[in-house]
Amino acid sequence: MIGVARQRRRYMRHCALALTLALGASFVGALLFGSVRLPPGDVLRALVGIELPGYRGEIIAAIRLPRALLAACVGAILAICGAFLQGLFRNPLADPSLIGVTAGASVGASVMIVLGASVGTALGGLGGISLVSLGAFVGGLITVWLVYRVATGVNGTSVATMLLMGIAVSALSASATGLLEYFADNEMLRRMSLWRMGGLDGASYPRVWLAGCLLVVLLLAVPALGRALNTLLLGESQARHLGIDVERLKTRLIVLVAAGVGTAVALSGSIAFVGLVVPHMIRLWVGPDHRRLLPLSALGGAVLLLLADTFARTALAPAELPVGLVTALLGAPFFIHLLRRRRDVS
Amino acid sequence: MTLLNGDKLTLCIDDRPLVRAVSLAVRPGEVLAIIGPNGAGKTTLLRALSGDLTPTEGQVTFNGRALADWPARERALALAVLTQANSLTFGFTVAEVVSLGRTPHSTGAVVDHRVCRAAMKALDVLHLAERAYPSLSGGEQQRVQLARVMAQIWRPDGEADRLLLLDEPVTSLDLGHQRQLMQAVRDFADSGVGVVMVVHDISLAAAYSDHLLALKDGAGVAYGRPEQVVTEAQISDLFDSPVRVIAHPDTGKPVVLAN
Repeated sequence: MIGVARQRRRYMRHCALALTLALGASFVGALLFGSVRLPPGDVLRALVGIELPGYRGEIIAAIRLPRALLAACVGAILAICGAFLQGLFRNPLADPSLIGVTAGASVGASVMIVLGASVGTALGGLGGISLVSLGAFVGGLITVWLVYRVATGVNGTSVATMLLMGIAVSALSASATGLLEYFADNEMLRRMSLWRMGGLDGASYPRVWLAGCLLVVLLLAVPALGRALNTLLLGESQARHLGIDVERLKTRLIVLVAAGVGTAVALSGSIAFVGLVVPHMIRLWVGPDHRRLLPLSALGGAVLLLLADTFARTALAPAELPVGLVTALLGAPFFIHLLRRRRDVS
Repeated sequence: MTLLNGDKLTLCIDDRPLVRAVSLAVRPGEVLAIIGPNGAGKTTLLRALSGDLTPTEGQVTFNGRALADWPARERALALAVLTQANSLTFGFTVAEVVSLGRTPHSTGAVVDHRVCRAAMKALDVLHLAERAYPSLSGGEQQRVQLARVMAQIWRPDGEADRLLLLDEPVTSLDLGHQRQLMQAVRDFADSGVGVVMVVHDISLAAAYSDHLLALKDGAGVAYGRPEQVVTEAQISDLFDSPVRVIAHPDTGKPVVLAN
């Protein structure tokens, strides 16, 4: 019998290699496929900066490339944040929406959509970030701050209270969104529901830069947080006895997740599933060690969102599916398959 | 020099005193067992000694310095704690769980690996090293957790003397593994580590400890060598239940028999 540890080390290498190749392939795929068919040679020429006849060069440089980059960054951010939260809550089924970020962002976006008809046109976009995105970001941050404040007392942050508070805040946000929907007209309603399904159609280079910078910050935090998160899985008291400053660790995780998910939601609406399932799938593959889990989750999230977005753009071309629906459609069956297989093995 | 010193420790939670003016001292190489009925304050006292709780009155001194003054990581190099609840739902392997004990150290992978193997061997879990932790039985998990905290302070890394705090380490173990675990703890103590543990089985505590501390309603009612503490009068009084105490035919240590 091969031991689990040795098997995991082997899987780790396979997984890293497979995901890197998949990332390359899905990125190229995202550039190749779209509502307009472009020959691979043209794509290559456009990428190295050779002028192409007509608008082909524009399609690659101004539409597909920023969109593919944004998809990869947002997917990686969501997956890392999901892994952070699952470690923090010591629950492999935790999800960024659990602490109310997504619901809060939803309220912020809805407010902006309802008010934005008058305000938005007056102010215009801020560096490529629309007012709706800004509203979503602020809404997400306010809810996380609220959840965190209530859950933090003299004895430190209670993870259980945070979970319950997340549910309460999500319920409150849902009713607020419902109220806004009640007052919205048909056009606004459609924008709200589309926003909630998530989409990367607003991709632009400023957005790519924003997401890219945030991803770099998250990745830089990974080596320091990975080991500490491993001890946290044993329990807070146990982690403290292993010399970890647990309160500081929790605060850092919450800040990173709030910034990460808040930004991701602001840039691309609420894309469910990536943060929940990617870390979970990677964990089934290489085990729960965060030093392996976090970087591999980033890769996995980028691949999943790239594939999902390419599918969303091409399936009903020239119309587009909301990418949030596609992520669930692509990922859920794979997840169920993994769960079943692992259950049979153990 | 005493390794751990508790001076008239009192702990109140919601104004209710759970531990009242308990004093104790542990030297390197010494095993102290805390005994007493359920709800006597044994775990609360242990949590005060580990720094999880701050005493309402009195002070805990570790290596000549107030416990609260130790930086977390430096303290973790010399003080390891095994708490009662150790739930871990994530599928770490046994070897990975034990190696978490090396987190505060920066001794390098080779030393860490050697230490973890030695600790696993001492607790008879080396053959489980590659198994997934959640798939083990309760008793096996308990031994793995003990291996983890032992690996944490396996070698003296630094000036400070080492201390191991264990909350009911042998509960849920079978007879053979109870003995084996206590012997491992004893051997570990003989290498110069101070040990304080909460134990329910008084005969077991008497057989492997240098000193016993009996708690009742939060107060220390007896403190001394096993023969001094484990007497028929004191144990009967401690548990409000008549017992007989006989000497073990081979070791001469006191053995408690319920009437």
